[in-house]
Amino acid sequence: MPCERDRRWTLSTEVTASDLKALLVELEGEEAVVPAFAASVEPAALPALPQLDKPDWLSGIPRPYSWRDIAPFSPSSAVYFMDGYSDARIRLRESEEEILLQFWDKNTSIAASAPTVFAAGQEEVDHFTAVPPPLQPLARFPENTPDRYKRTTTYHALQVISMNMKAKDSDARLLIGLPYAEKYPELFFRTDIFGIDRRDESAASYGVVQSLTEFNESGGHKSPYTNGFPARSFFAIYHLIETPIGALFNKKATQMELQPSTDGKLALKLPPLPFNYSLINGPIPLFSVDEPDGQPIADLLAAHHNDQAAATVPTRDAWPWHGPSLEAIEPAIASARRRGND
Amino acid sequence: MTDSSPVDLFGPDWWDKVLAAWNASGCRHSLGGFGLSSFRVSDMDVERIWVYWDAEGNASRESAGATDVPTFSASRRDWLDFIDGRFTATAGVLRRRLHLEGSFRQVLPYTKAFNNLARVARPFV
Repeated sequence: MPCERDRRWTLSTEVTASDLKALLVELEGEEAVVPAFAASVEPAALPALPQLDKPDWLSGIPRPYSWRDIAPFSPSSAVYFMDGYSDARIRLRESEEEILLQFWDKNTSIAASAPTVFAAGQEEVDHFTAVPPPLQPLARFPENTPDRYKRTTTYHALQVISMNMKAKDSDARLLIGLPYAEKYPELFFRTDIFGIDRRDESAASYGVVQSLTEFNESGGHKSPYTNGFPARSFFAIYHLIETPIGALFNKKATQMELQPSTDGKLALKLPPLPFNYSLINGPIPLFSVDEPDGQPIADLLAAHHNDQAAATVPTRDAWPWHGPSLEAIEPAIASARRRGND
Repeated sequence: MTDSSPVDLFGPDWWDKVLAAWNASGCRHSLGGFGLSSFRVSDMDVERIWVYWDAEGNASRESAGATDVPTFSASRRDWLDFIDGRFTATAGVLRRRLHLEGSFRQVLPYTKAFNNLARVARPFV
């Protein structure tokens, strides 16, 4: 009676060992071979999992991290979307006044490269990042990267695709990536003013997520998957801050580094939500868009960028719903590049 | 002591009193060389006022002036709040409570001086 037999094989969590034994006897007769576990194991008597010996290298994981925090990076390039909050404390040079600007968005998108292993001299190596034109689909170590990031371990190279943040109490906006390139192409694509130690070819903003571990495979080598999370991260940002008192931009990249979360840990996933990036290389001189080659008129003293949740859908005024008209800005891009070559 | 004879708030006579107090104040030099500017109240039926600041910061009201000079406008309530020190000139422009027509770059070196002007005007409101 196979049909009946099938119907009766409906196990539930309430089946006991004696139930199972009775069932087998009924199905197979008194000759049934009753597995040892069915003869002796009751739910309350389930054995504990065996205690495995902890490998020596796990003992070396510094607090607050544990073995649960160790995971490989995502294997491919990817784009991440998130909501955000930023604030910037700015001092106006001539009046010595300080102002605090606060911005919010549901628009931020960041592209990450496939994981790769850093080696000395790789600062200038480009890695594919999935960003749309007119941005270049490449990312590299940001200029003036802190030495603590120059380690032989795995990292993702990052590029900010789009950030279009708005103040709630004024018309101020914070533009990074596409919206900056779209509105100020003659500035964004200048090849002669961005960067201090290295001349960047545009105001594209790069970043890094880099493993905190430096494990080797048993053969002594490292693959992109040998190390991963936990990780540190920082960005070198070129931003345009529009305010009713003028539009300000930076030439020295604003370095924003991930700060530990409330449990004392850095990134355990991407995006590293909840996150808090803080300015680490201020003050950052800010120049007027009206006089880009003039003297700085303000300084960025402090800045934060944080968020609690990933964005599910970016708002309609942001990429990928909205992007620059390449035809419209191409002449300005060409003009900016010519200016840099002169 | 200020002259307590009644004048229309933000009218020419009111400005004359404020500017007289400004010229007698110790902080008049902070607006030295600013030149010509004008002031408006967006929701009151008072005329636009032109003020000229000379190299020493002495102020004089002009009967009329060019229209392409830095012009500050705000509602009566926002002017009163500014004079009361509830926000600075920079914060006012930033938050759109004071509207500036013209280049903020020209005003930038004088933003604190306009806060001084608000302080001087405070007894007259």
